[in-house]
Amino acid sequence: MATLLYRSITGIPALVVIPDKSHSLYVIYNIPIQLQTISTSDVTHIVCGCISPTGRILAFVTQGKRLDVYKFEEDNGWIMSYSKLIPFKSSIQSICITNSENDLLLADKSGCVCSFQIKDSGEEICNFSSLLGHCSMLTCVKTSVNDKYIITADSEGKLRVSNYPNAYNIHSFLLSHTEFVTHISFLPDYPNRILSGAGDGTIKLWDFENSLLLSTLTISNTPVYLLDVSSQGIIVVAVEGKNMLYFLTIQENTIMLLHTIELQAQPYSGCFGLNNICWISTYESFHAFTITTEPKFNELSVSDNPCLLYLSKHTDWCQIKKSEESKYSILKKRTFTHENKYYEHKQEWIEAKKRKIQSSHTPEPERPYNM
Amino acid sequence: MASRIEPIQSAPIENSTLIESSEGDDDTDLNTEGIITSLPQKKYYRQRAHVNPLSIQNLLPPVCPSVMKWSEHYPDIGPNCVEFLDIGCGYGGLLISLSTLFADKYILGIEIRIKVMDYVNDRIKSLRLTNANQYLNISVLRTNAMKYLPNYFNKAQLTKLFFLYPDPHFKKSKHKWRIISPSLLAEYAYILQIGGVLYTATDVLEVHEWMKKHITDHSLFTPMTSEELSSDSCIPLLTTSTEEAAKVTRNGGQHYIACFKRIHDPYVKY
Repeated sequence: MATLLYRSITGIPALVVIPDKSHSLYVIYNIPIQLQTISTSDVTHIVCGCISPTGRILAFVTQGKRLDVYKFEEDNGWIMSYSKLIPFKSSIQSICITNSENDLLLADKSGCVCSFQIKDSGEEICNFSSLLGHCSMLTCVKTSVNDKYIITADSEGKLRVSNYPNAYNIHSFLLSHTEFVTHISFLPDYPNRILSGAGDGTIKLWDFENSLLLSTLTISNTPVYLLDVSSQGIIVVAVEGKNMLYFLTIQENTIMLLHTIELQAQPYSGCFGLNNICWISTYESFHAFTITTEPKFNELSVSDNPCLLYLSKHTDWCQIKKSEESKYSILKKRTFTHENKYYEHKQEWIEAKKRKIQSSHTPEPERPYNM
Repeated sequence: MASRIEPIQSAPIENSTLIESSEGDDDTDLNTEGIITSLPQKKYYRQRAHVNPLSIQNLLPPVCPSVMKWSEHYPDIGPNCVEFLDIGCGYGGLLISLSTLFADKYILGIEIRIKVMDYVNDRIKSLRLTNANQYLNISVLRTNAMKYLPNYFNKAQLTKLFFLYPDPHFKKSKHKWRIISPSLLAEYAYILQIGGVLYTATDVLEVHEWMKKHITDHSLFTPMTSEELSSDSCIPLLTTSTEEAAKVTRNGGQHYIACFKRIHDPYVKY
């Protein structure tokens, strides 16, 4: 169970692996094969991380809310820029660097999104400004290609599109998911469109500028575990409880299923790399697939790719440290029937009342209806 | 002395309804179809005033506003839409006053407490039965305004939004439950039209200051001028129409009112 992050670091093929409940993350460069281990100074493990769109900045947060920011230098690899404590009460759910690389956005469990200036201010605790808030747990935060909008997804199935940086002005809500949203992904060819994956097992295509739902594809009735889009517009998806990878594409505003591949174990995370290689981590091992233009899907063997050979020696990164029934089990909706109970009780009382009026001998019914 | 060391045996009264003596004062009328014909009595619908709005999970809102069946609430609504919204409508006094004052507008009250909401529902039903073709423009529904407003209303749908005598949530740790907060104001601004009005009233000075500060600080709202205030026919209703307001007046409390207009976003991109 390792989260795979990135495709290229300033044009160099590389892969970032964050193992579950780990204090370190690993950057593996392909040519020549090289590994850089980046460890947090914090006592708690890494919860989430991200790389800026150009691949120059790497940021990650630990459970103890220490934010580490690294900058990439051609000769030395990743160099720590700073490490700070962030004044958040709730745990961080998602992290994102804006396309201008000026700000870092953090979304937390209580529903707040805050922004930090990436430039080091020299203080131990960084200054932040609160951008927006949901009244539900946030699951994902992203900014649009031109940094005009910030898109947040929450555990109630809501996608909110707000202006950026004036995020108090909401552009629209994208409502259609019936369960928590797990992923937001931008499409390289369409700057105004996003894909969303959710706990209801659907992938939806939206025109967020005009608040339109363009297409829905139901993959399963279980949560979407991974969703990523390649530079050629190929989409990879996996869902809970199925050892399958689904490759999709978009044709004329519709999401189409291109191909499926069965794996040995449940896919957990994945991303597209340079040269159209799709990297996948499952609960057991790592896989890589090449996608050629026809389109054709071929699994790479360890002899084809030095990076994959390297990963095959580190399958321990895939291990689950804590037994969890599901990646998103805490987000699943629970239903109660208080309301029905109340109305049943009320109906009973009215019936009894009716009987009483008809024959005044019936005893006084117990009321009022307590819940 | 013995009574002092006796453990308190009664269940916490906060969640249970105050049961009054029901003998002798029962004047609820039912017709032969079992429909309550008289106005509902508040004593049967009392519920604890405070709820944790962030933990209420048993509500299933519509997925999006377009699937909402408003004709179940307003038999003659047709293609029109709700324009006035009373958040935390309590026992519905404002709705009933607004109904006759703005007969051409559709007005909705939302209330999170099921019994209180049911009281308002029964009250409207009864009013509709006894006054033909009246009170068809008001309704109530149970939802959580902090979470689900965008599920019910489109952008810029509303022209008036009321927050009358909200739960003060005095403790600092409960301030996040307050109905006015910077993040929620963004949602209120989203559902309000440009020029739409947000009314607040409270009897707690601290809450008044809190609401005034946060709404004034929000870039999409501006305080109403005194001319605008004096020409607004809703203002007198704020302190007279609701059950809460009557209670405050009865107990000699103060009414604090603050009203704001939704304005264009002053933000200019450089």
